[in-house]
Amino acid sequence: MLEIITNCVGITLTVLYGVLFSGEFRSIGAAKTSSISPWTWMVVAVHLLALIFRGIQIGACPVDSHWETLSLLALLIVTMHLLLARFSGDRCTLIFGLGLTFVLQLAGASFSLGDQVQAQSPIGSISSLHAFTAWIGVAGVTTAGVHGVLWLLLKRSIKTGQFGILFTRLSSLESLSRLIRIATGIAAGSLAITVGTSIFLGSGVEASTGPVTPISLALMGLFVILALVPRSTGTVTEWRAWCSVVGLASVIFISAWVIQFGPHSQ
Amino acid sequence: MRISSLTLSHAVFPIETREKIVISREKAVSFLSDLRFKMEIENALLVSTCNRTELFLATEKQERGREILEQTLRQWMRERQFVIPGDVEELILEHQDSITRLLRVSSGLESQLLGESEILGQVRSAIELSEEAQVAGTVIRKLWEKALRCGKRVRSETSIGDGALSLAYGALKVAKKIHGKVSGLHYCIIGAGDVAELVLTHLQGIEDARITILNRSQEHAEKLANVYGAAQGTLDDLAEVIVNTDVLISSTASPHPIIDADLIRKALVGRPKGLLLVDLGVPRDIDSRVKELPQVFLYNLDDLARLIEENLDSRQEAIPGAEEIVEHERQQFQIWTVNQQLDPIIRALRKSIEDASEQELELLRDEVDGELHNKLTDLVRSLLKRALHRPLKEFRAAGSQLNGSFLNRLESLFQQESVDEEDQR
Repeated sequence: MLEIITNCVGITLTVLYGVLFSGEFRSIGAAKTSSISPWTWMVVAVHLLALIFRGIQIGACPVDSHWETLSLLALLIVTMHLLLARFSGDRCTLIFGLGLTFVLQLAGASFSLGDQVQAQSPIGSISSLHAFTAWIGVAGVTTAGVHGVLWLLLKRSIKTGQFGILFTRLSSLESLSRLIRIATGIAAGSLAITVGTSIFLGSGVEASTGPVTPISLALMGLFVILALVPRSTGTVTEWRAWCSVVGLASVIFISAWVIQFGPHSQ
Repeated sequence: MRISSLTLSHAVFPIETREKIVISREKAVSFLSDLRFKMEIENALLVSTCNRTELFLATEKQERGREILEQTLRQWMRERQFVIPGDVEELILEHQDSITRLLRVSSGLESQLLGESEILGQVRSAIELSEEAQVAGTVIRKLWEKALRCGKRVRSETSIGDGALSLAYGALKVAKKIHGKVSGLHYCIIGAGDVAELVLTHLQGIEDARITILNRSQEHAEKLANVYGAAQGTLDDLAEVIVNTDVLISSTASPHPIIDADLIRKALVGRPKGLLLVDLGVPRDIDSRVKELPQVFLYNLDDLARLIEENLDSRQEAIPGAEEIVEHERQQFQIWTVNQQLDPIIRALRKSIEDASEQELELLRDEVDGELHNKLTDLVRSLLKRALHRPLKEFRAAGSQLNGSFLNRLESLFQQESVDEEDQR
């Protein structure tokens, strides 16, 4: 019964994110303000409640199945985009966050709640913190990567005089640069906590032989450096954008690995 | 008189060719003087701007005008080393099309940025060149007056000039895409001509904008700097100023680039921000290789025009109204040119009839007393006036449909009649 309800919530959330995405897409050109529809906040709140309920139910961070993992990542990404839009006053990239969330929800909905990730659930508060911050880090790197790609595309568009939808839709290089730096900072902080908790947990990390830990460590190092480098619209941000894109590529690889083999394959 | 014109504009030629075609003021006067003294042309108007070089001639015969324009174009192609995409004939317009062309140009209908207002000022100052070269004849001056009137009417009676749509607006839009804002930026304006002044008027309303004007002649820069509250300097200060500049807008009449890649490369060392360079000069002021530098965004006239095209919707709607005004003014000019031909004929006709009636009245002078003769004189004059009014009005109205040789024949006929009558006396 519970499995049916959870699957229904998953499907409903996917449909709702699809609706929000298409609504945001239709408002292209009008989306010049930072005001975010209350419906968006409401959908995110429902999503959060569903995952909290699931977490309480299993007594750990809900990353026990493919659906939970992808849904948590989707929630973190959309929340990060919403917070960036809310606090920077620039809503231009929200559509990409909603789009990515919709895709992740869709991918998650294709798995049943019963499809277990090949690893034990992170039982215990430290393990849960480790798993949760790891996924915040992944969401941060993804968000920075998305903004990095957009920064590079907008720069190319301005430089070559291509006045298409990206030129019209995106706010400015300066604003995107600010958003990349914030996302980079969040990713660096989260990854640092993840690495810290894994050191505290000790045996789990030593036992892992897959690429997740070394890639996470490399990403943490990279993003800590990126977070410390001053912001600009010049070559520094170009490097930061490219590094964020590398981070995004790593996240896609890690996500695929985790779905296939679990977070720490033995 | 027949009007002919040669049209070399942005619609056919890219900026790389236009910068070869553009004619400086001094050369324009010299060219028009050559037309006056070598080709005996008394009516010519040359409008040469960054987006167009258009030459209008008024000649007795259309063929003569066409021949001179063809010759001129071939000479320019040889001297300035450019080629045209089609036939030479395609760029030369005949009477009606030439009149319409100048009216449309001054109305902004042929402008790269539909409805832009700069062109009206450029057409206005074109007559000064003709005057200096002594080719500002009656016909071309009348056409020029019509063009100015048409340009003013189109802008005041239609919405073609509404909305922020100018090169400066386009430049600021790109600046905002790079820097996220236009306030608080450092703008460097190179040049102190009309275009620079227009850009400055756009910058004036921007909050906390720091503006520096650099010009070859410090005197002009100083004048503008005082009006717009900007700092000023000469081109020698460019390397120093550019280091802190966010947006550089150049519009000089220099025949060669004044900003090269080396200068910009040096200015970018240690610079965290992007640099927007806007080149409004034709020939271009900024070496196009500058575009290859990673932090530099280089825009020229054509780039900005493409950007602004998206804002054209409201102006596009005003085109039919503007074209109606152009057509009305064209007809008015047409009537004027026909009247120019009819006036001597009508004068000759009036004179021949008045002379005949005066002679008949003179014969009666001895037969009637003075008071009656005066009354008869008034009566005859009044009758003539009433009798001729309607036919002459109809004649004027139908004038545009009568061909030139018929009108010439009429004129010589009435003049001949007057002479014959005088001989008989």
